[in-house]
This record gives sequence, structure tokens and C-alpha cells, in this order.
Amino acid sequence: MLSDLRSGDPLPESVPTDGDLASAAAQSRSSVAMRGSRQLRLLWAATVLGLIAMAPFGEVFASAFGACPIKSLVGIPCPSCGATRSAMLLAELRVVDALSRFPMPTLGWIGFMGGGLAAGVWVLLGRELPAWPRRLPGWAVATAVGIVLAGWAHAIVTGV
Amino acid sequence: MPLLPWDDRQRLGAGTAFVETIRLLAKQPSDAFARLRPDGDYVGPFVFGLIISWAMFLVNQVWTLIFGSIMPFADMGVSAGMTLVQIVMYAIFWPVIYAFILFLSAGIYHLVLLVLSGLQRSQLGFEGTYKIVAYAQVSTLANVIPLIGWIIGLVLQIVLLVVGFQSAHRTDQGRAIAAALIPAALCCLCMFVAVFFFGAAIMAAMAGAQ
Repeated sequence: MLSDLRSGDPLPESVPTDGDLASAAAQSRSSVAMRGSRQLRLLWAATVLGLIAMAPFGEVFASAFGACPIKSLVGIPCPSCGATRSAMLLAELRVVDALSRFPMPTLGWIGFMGGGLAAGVWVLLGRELPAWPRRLPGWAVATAVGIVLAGWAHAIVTGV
Repeated sequence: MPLLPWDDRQRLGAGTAFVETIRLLAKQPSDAFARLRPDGDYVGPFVFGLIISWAMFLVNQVWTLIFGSIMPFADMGVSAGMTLVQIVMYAIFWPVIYAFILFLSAGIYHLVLLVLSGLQRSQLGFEGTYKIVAYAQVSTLANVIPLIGWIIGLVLQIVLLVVGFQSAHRTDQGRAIAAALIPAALCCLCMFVAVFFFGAAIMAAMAGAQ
């Protein structure tokens, strides 16, 4: 549309310039990102509040599960073994007990629950969540793998 | 590229969009996942996955009632059958449980993709992984087949995740397969370790017998 105008012609007020279009596109992307961030934080916070509401009935939910099928089959705990028992201890607010017996699942629970509550508070404060990086630095990869292996080694050594 | 039918549900109607999305995911998953857009909608995919998982939870309870002890893992208590109170409680709190599973799964897969450098060409970021995991829930519809449906669903889910990571995150097939399998492999790895020790014990016993 802009190319149809002869040079020197004044731009009509209703025709947006390239700059206007770029600015509108950037605003649209920004508003989509804000909407996504807000929905994500609200869903996360709602999930955490729902899990807290489930805590008084923890025994009812947990008793539906038997032993971990992997551990029952081979006798070796899987990396996530102890997650249910850790949740039960946390529901009774026995945080130290949970951390000493099932450190990795407990840290995972604390991270998820704490993150969800923080996300809810951030919605109220109108702040943004930090974006995920596209690539992890080597030290972060090594740390992530190390945490999983250390947690699993602890589960195997203690028998969980 | 048109929208995924579920993302266009206001125009199509929720029922039609739901069925069309399932059909598209079953017939042309690559096309379906390529239609994902960074539109900031986390609730829509959650609702889609929730409807399917809720229905399949109830279907599983029916199969457990009918087939009881011959259901997979029945002797280990995983699906040994719940009491009525447990079924009701699970059904009531299923949205919370599903939301937790969705967040956890998406978080783990996204972390694995990050570790594998599988997101460098992605335009969707975490939103994409979250949507792929939610829409891959369609694989659990295989649970309508009693006894063997869960294993068919498991295979279908891995296939959908691989296709989803490739199409939506524009990662290569190797990284997509690795990202879909590593979380499951971490749980099964101890099985391989046990087999290794079992084999070593047999070898030692054989060596002792000679």
C-alpha cells in the first residue's frame, strides 16, 4: 500500500507507516507474552493451592499407590522414589525429616510449591516471571545432572 | 498455516474443535504441532488434556472393576483397585492432580531439551513444551482398550512427543527422541543396573562352579 504512493505525496493519516506497523507488532508480541506469563503464574499458583487443599486427605490419595513398580521389580529405587512419602511428611510440616530422608524429592516439592506461591504473589505485585533461557551453560548442565545422580545415589544407598 | 482447531474453538464450537483436534493429532501429528503459536494461552491446552485424562481415569476404574487382578501391575498395588472413597476423591481433585502432572512433565521435558540444546531454534519456549505435553495427552485415549491400552498409549505418547518437539521446537530428530526418552529411561535405568548385577552374579556363580 505504501509503495502505491508517489514520493513527495503526504501520507494520509489513516495509513500506518512501517515504523507504526513494527511498533504495533512489538506491542502485540509483548501483550501476548504478558498474557502468557500471567496465565502461567495463575495456573501454577492455583495448582499449588489445590495441592495444599489436598494435604488433609493425603493418606487417602497416597494409599491408592502401592510400592514403586520399578523398585518392586528390580529391588533398586528409581530416581524419584520417595516422592509420595516426602509429600506426606511435608503435609505434616515435618520438613527436616523429609529433607534428611528423601532430599531430592523434597527439594523438588519445596521448589514447586514455593515457586507456585511466589508466582501467585508476583501476579498480585504485577511483576513478570523470568524467561527460560534457550541454552544452558555447561556448569548448569553439569549441576542438573549432578543433582539427579546424587539424589539417586542417596536413594540407592539408603534403600529409601 | 491455519490454527489448531482447539485454538480456534470460539469460531468452530468447543465440541467440534475438540474432536477435530483429536483427529488431526491422530492422523497428522506433525501438521498439528506445527500449528502451535506463541499466543500465551496456557488454559486452553490444559482444559483439552484435562478432559481426556479425566475421562480416561474413569475408564481405567471401570476396567479395574471388570478385570481386577489381571490388570497390569495389579499385584504391586498401582492399579489394584481403589476404594469408592478414593475414586471419588481422585475424581474431585483430578484437575489439581492433572495440572501438577502437566507442570511437572513439561518442566522435566523442557529441562532435558535445554540440556540437549534442543531449543535454540524454538520460537515457542516453555509454552511450546507445555502445549506439546498437554496435546500428547490424546495418546491416553488408547486406554479405552482394556489390558493393553496403557502400553499402546505409552508408545503413542512417546511418538507424539518426538513429533511435537521436532515440529514445534524445530529440533532435530535425535534430540527429540532423546528428550522424549530420557525421563522414562531415568526410571528404567535402575532396571538395567539390576540386570547388570544379576548377570554379574550369575557369571560369578558359574565361574565358582567350574
